[in-house]
Amino acid sequence: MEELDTDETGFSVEQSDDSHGDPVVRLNGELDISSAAAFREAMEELVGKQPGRLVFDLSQLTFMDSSGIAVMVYVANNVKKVELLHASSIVRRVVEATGLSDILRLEPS
Amino acid sequence: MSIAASETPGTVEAAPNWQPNSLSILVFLAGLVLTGALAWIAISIHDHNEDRLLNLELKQAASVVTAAVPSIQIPLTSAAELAAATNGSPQQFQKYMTAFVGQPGPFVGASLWRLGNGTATLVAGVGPVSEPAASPGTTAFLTKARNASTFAIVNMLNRPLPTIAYAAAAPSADTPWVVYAERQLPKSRHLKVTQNSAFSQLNYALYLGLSTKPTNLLEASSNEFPLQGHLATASVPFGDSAITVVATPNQELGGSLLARLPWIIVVAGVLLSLSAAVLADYLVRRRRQAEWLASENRRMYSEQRSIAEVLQHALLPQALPEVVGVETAIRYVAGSEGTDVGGDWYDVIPLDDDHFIFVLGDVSGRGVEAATIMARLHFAIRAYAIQGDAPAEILGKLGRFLDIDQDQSFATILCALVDVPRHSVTLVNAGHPPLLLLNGKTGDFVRTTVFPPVGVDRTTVYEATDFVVPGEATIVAFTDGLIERRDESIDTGLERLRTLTTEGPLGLDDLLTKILTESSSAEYHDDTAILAVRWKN
Repeated sequence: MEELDTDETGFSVEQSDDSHGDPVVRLNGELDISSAAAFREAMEELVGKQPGRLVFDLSQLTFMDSSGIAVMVYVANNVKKVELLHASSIVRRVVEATGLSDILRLEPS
Repeated sequence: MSIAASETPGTVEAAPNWQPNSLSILVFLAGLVLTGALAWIAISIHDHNEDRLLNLELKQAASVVTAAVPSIQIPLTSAAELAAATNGSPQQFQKYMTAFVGQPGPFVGASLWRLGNGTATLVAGVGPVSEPAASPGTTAFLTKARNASTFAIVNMLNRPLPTIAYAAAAPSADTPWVVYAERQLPKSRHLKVTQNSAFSQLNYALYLGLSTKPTNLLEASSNEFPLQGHLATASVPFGDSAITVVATPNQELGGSLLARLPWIIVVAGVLLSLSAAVLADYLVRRRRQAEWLASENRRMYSEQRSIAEVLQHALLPQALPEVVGVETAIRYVAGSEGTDVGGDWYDVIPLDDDHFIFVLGDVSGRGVEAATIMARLHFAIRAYAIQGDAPAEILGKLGRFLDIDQDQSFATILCALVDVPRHSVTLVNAGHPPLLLLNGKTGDFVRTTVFPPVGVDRTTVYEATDFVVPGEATIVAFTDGLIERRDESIDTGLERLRTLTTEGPLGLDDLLTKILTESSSAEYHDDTAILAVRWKN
């Protein structure tokens, strides 16, 4: 399991593989302007491996601002199938309010 | 407007030229003082030690002199005893004394005297040197010798052949026999000191008596006379007189290391002081350099921020154009988080006497990149608006100017065409927080379709929502910095904003001030832009 610790606000990323061998990315903490650049780099590396399917576990993601959403949209635009699991209502509402419900399809919790 | 360009950084010293700083001078001086003190202590110890050793040497030398006393006393008193025992036999006296007269000495001549009736009478003599004349002086000297417990001495060093005269009687009292002897000193009284003798480390002079006047000099180890330098004096009894030893060391008694120690300390101390001063200087310079670098970094940092700020400042209208029939107001608060400015912007574009377009946008991300994207969109919207495009068309075309895959950003935008006399608004929302409509005592968010932000998908087809506002209504557009908090849903933030705007009528500026102070979060310092439009009737 790889880990990416981005900053003092405590955002981190854990990456593993699920039973199908597809990457699972778990986001922990607050994804905001101070952690978005590092997160984007990590995701660019992952997208570069051209996975057919990518799973985000958002159960531990407590906050996401527009710069974080931008990274998620980038991943969604570049990976064929992206699954977004266990989003909290705070995250869910941010995605809806930004008009991205059709692009970032959050699985019902 | 709070986008004043940041203050130019304080004067920055150029890279510091070398010059001795006060700290290193102080360190050097302190080192010298310490060195001086240590050297002084070493000198004191050395001097004290030399004194002690000199006195020890002198004692040793004096003991040698003392040991020489019997070589004078024993022949004289023995001869006197013999005379007493043989009733002054001249033959016995001559036979005994011959061994002590001439070579090897110690005497050059000796004679036996009989004291009686106040006169001294010569009884016998040995050796070439003449006896003293029988005179009152001789009698007095011999009498003095007979009455003394030891031998008596007369200083005759001023003779051409420097001489000392001795006289001694038998220790037993009431004897008339007194032995007289003379000893000549070598003409040159410079004696070579043999090594390892008691005097080997000393230059010394021996004086007869307690006075060290030149006429009393018995012998000296040096031609350089009188002795110079660090002198020590001791006297030992010699007959009824004394011998005074004056000595000065001819070498370092305590060894050369102790003598060199002060110099070693001085040299080492000066070197150490210099090193410490150089080190201090180095450290001070390093610190200055670090401070200079830090201030340089601050300057560049603030410069970087101010580039973005200047850009933003140049782009955002400082005053909104007058629009007949409505009052407009804006607020812009730069975020305090980090150094980068955000990508919020606003615009009011009059089209004709009755129509204008207003825009409120927010580019995700911060800094020069966000400001640059904002600039593109800002001018593109102006151009499309002026050529007559409706808001939905405008937003649809903006995808040409922003692509999330390349720019790593998207932009949320509220764009509205307002027909002032008709009180109608044609609104398009690209991923942006909703428009707030205040109508007297009620406030509500205008429900529209929320389309994806600009830059996400170029194929997005934006559609407008038309609505009519009542007379004297106020519409407020804002960026998410106003409502976004980390620990709550944006619905909570929206509701807080809605309720605080419905508490009675306020002037437009007062309203925006209230919204800013009461709604924005102290914890989350994103940029915030607010634009309000109020119909005058």
